Amino acid sequence: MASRSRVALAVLLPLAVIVAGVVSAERRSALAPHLVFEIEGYDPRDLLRGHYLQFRLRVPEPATDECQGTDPDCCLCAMAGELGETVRVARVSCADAPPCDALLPAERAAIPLRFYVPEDRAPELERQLAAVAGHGGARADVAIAGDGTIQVRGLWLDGLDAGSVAPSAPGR
Amino acid sequence: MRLARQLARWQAEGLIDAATAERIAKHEAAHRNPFVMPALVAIGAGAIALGLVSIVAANWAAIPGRVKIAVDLAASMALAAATARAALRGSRLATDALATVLWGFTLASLALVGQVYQVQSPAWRSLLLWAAATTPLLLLAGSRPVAVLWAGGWLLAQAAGWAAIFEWLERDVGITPHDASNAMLVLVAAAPLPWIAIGRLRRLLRDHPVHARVAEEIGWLGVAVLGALGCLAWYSARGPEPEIGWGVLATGLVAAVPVLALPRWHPEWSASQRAAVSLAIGIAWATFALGDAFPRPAAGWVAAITQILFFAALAWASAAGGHERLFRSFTGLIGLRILVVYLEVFGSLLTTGLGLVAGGLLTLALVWAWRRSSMPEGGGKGEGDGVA
Repeated sequence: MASRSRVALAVLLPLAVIVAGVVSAERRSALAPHLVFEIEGYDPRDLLRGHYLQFRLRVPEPATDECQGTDPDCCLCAMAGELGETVRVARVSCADAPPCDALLPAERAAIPLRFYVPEDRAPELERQLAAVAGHGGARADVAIAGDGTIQVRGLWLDGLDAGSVAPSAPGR
Repeated sequence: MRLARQLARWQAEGLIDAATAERIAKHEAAHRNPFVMPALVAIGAGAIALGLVSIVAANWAAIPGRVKIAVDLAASMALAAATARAALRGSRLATDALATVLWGFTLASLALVGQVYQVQSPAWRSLLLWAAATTPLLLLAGSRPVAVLWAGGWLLAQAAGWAAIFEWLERDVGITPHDASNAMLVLVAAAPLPWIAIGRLRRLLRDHPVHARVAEEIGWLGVAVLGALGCLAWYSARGPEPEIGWGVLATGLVAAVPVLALPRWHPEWSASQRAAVSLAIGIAWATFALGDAFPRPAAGWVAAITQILFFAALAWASAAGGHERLFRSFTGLIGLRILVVYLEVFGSLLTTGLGLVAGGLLTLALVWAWRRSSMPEGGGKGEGDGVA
C-alpha cells in the first residue's frame, strides 16, 4: 500500500496545476492592460480541436518602425488606446524597447488565435466574423503576459459581445 | 475453469494424482495475473475521461465560465479525495479506475481553463504539464492497462513537443528548412531512447515494475518501427545532391547509443541476444545511410531484402532471449514482407515468375528454419515478458 505522503502528492499535484492555471489566468485578466485590436478571420473552425473561431490580430500602422516584422529580434511595443479606441503600436528592437503596456515578439502577432465559442453558436459566429472582419467590425481585447502568452479577454463582432471573460471590458 | 477441466482430465488419464492437481491449482491461483478486469476498468474509466473532455469541448453557453471552473474544481477535489481513499485502503481496482478518471479529468480541466479564459498557450505546454502532474497519480495504479494510458499521455506530450521544437527551429532560431528537417530526423531517431532508459531506471523497476516494463516496451517498439521505416529510403531515387545531409551521421551516433548501452541496460542478456539487437540496429542504420550516400535509382528490392534481414535479426534476438511470441511475431512479419514482395514484383510474366519462385523458396526456408529453431516446447517466456 502506498504511503500517505505519496498518495497526497499524487492526488494534489493535478489539483495544484489546475488551480495554478486558474489563478494565473484570473490575474492576467484582471491586471494586464486592455489592448484592443481589430481582427481578421483566419481558417474555419477545426472540429477536432473543439469549437472555436480562428482569427489574427490586425496590427495597426506602427508609430515607429525600427525593424522588420519578420526579424526574430523585432517586437511590437503596444500601448492601450483610449476607451473605444484600438491599440497603438511601435515596432522596436526587443532588446532595447521603451516602456510599453505590453511587449510582444512581432512574429507572434501574426500567429492565428483561437476564441472558444459554444458549440451551438459556432456556425453563426463564424459567419458573422467572416462578414464583419473585412470592414473593421471585428475587435478583440487581449491581455499579453510577460512571456508573450496572449489571453483573449473578449471578442466583439459589429459591437456585439461574442463571449467574454470580462464582459464589461472596453473597446467596442 | 479451463485449468480445472484440464487437471480433471489429466487426473482421469492417470498423468497426475489428486495431491499434485491440488498443488497445481493452488500455485496457479496464487500466481494468477488478472488482465481482463483491469483492462475493462481502464477502458471504462478512459471512456469517462474522454467523455469529459468532449463535454468541455462543447462549451455550454448556459453556464457562466467561472461557475464552470468552480464546479470543475469541486469535482476534481471530490475525485482526488476518492482516489486517495481507495489507494490508502489498498483497493487496487478502485484505485485504478479513479486514478484513470482523475487523469482524464485533469486534462479536461486544463482544457476548460484554456477555454473559459481564452488562453492562447501552445498545446504542448498543457500536455507536458498534464503528463508530468499526473505521473505520480498513475504510478499509484499497478495494472498494465493504466500503465499503457500513462505512457500514452507522455507520447502525446512528446509528439506535441516535437512539433513545437520543429516550429521553433524554423521560426525563432532561423535555421534553414533543410537543417530543421535534419534536426527533426535526429529527434525522431532518438525518440525511443528515453523510453528505454526510463524503463531501466532502478527505482522505477523496483517500485513500479509494470510501468517500467511498458516504458521499455514502447522504446523497443519504437526502435523496431523506425528500423523498419529506415529501410524504406531505397524506394525513392537519390539525385546528385544528398537529400538529407548531416542528419545521417547524427542518426548514426544516436543508433550507437543503444548498442553501447545494452550491456548496462541488460547485463542479464546473453552475448548472442545483444549481438542480434546490435546487428538489427546496424542493418537499419546502414541501409538508411547508404540510401543517401550516393546517386542511385530507386531500388525497392534493397528495401525489401534489408527489411527482411532486419526482422530476421530481431527474430534471432527474440529466440536468443527465449521470447517465443516475439520470435513468432517477427518471423510472421518476415512472411508478410515476402508477401508484399510478391505483389511488388508483379510486372512482366518473367519478373512475376522469378519473384514468386524466389519468394516461395525463401518462405519454405523460413518454415524449415522455424521448425528447426531450438525453441523448446512451452519453454518461451510468453506474452509481454520483456522485449528482444
